[in-house]
Amino acid sequence: MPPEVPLVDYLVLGDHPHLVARQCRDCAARFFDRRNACASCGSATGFDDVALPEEGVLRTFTVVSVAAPGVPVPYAAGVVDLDGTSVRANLVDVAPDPAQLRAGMRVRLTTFGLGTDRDGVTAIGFGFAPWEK
Amino acid sequence: MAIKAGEADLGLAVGVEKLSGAGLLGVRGTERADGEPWTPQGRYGSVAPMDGWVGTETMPGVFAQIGLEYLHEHPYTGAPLELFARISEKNHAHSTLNPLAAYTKRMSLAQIMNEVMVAYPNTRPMCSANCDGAAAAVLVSDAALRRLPREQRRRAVKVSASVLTSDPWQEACQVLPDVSTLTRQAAATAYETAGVGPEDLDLVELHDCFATAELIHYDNLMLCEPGGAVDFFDSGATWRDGRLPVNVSGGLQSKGHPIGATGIAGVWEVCQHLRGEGGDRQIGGARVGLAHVIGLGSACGVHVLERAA
Repeated sequence: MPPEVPLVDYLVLGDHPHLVARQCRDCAARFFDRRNACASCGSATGFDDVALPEEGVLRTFTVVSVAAPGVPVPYAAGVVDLDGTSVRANLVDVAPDPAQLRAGMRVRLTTFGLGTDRDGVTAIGFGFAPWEK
Repeated sequence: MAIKAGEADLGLAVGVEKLSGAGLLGVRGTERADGEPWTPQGRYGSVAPMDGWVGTETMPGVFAQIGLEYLHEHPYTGAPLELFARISEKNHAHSTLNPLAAYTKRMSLAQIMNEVMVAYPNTRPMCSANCDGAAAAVLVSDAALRRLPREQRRRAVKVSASVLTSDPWQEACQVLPDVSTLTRQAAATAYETAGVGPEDLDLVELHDCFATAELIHYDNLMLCEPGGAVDFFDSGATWRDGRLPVNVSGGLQSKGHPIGATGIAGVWEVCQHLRGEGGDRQIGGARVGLAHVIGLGSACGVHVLERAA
């Protein structure tokens, strides 16, 4: 299998791609960025990685039609609630059309290639796709 | 604050912005050379820019999500695009009476809904107008006011509350900016300090950076029952002839949003009405007003102002 690299360091690739949050050891607040201290309680005790579920519920969304150069439009973006932890993501495998999207709909993580660099490494991005049981 | 502390008794607050032609704010572009090695960078260890690939960081999209989240939490059965377009229709109608507004053009509901879509449900006229602008306020202590000529004293406006808040950490606040918690805290403190309730207000200038933002701030500023922002707007209350006019200046959507000047411009607008100097757009008999401003990051200012004497 050719080498792969995740688009962001909180995306874990492999057989079951998933997201990880960094959880404050003192107050359990969760973050996705690299931090020296907790933005909620101020503690610098440290953070533990917590795997997040692949399935969640769409909290809100938009369809962006005007964006920076290089960003293909239109695209659907939203906030997904993964069992109490919110993440920002694109909504994929669905037309970027407000009529196809609904806050409260169930969604599931999916990954896709973003391109291969001159060393043969492929970057892997993620999004959430509508998913009904 | 220096006046309140007794260190000064006369101050000048100035806000200035040069923003014309700045275009879409908060975006950097995502161009990268073909084949350039993927290299993790920044706080998220990202190998490429995230805007547009991991959700949106652009303001029209951010505030679109904030507005639609409100309609999800307080279930709405109507068409969101039309609802937010009607809020924009109000502010653009108000702007026709404000010669200082960046745009003074009345727009029909159909025009607003059929304009260029920026980030659903925000079409272009539902987004604040990037423009240059400046505003200023002269602040005086009670003692300094007494030394001023009667004609100036007559125009003085009482600052009944001046509150600045920052946002506490909330779940999701780094995923989608939370402009509600700090606005609610600022409003509650301002009403308490001023001894004035939302029911006492004669007009409000609030931070309608997008039509979607205006709706949620009706609720955040407690102008309506909790969760009742849509009913409050539908009642016609926020039109200039309604029970509690909101953004009679035209708001940020048509008066414009020169970011550094926006806060004081809102204060100035309320003052004009309290002085009876609002010209064609005067809200008759205005005695108490509220001005609200947001800066993402986040900070919120709320002022309650009253006509002196």
